[in-house]
Amino acid sequence: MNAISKRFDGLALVRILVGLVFLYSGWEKVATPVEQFIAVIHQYRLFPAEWESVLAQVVSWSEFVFGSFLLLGFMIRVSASVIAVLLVSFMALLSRSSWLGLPIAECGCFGSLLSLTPFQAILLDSFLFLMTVTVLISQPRAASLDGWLHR
Amino acid sequence: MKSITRKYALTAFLIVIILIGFVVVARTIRKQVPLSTEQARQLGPKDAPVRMIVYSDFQCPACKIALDPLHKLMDEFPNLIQIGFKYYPIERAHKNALLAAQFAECAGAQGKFWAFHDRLFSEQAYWSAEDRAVSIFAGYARELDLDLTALRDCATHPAVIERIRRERTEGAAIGVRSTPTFFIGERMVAGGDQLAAEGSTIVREELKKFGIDS
Repeated sequence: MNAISKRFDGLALVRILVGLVFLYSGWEKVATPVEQFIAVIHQYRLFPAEWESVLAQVVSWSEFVFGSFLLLGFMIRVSASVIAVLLVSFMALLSRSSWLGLPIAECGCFGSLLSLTPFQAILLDSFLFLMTVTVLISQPRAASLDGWLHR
Repeated sequence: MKSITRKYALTAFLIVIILIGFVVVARTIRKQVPLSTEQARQLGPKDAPVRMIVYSDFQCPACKIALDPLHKLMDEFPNLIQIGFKYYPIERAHKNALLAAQFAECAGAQGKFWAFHDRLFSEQAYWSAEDRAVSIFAGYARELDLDLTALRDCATHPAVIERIRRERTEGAAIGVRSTPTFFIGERMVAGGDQLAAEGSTIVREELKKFGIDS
């Protein structure tokens, strides 16, 4: 029983960690003028200009809202799924930019806190993706709103 | 089943409202855009109706590329825009960016900020990766007839480094996350492409505030 609860605590910690990363990353984007993130999206040269503004809003608010949800353990399956989809999209975008040799020195993922090259960002995103899939499969309810709501 | 759905809907609503509240507060208390810079780093007439601030990094290739739309904008609105330069050296990615800013600031103290600015950007590819950037910058200073001893003394002064880093911190506080970032009045424009696409429209809107139709 003790071992099981420890395992659940560890998984909850993974969930909280992924949630924190996305909450912070989303906060950096939603709290600053959207023009900054539009410029980040623009440097990947994939989307038409009229989509960039919409994408900037959707991605930054998704990160912020679902990162918060995951941190609080609310709608864990939905939140982890959205974050997993975001991570796969980021990795695809970053890989494409590296493949095409686009002149991107900094991925623009974490605002002013972390300056990562596209390659470093792919590594970090892969790690976060594994953590998110673990959360998605196990859906740890320790210290979560889901657990509290289902009591 | 209905009860749990209602609980979830209410909780989601509350969390989202709280999150939006945080964002609204953060955006409201964000510092005002400072529309002035050191006199040496101003370009254009002092009484120009439109004030523009550029947060830039001498080692950033995008900043060099953005000079083209910036010059086009100034040509499109002659004598109507005053540009102020602010430092935003991205030290983690650009090893000579801070040093370049130090030399530019001190060239400004001798009245040649913009000449040094232009030289740094035109030769950016040459000095960016160099370990001997100090001697390269000294060479530019010599060609611009600057007092080299005074320039070196000034460039190594801790107050100069502090001033440059303070401008970067101040930029981050008002939402600058990348270079170049422009402020036309209070409006933020990030990058040369956005400046090329929206710069004229924003300047016209600013001019209208002064009753100038262009």
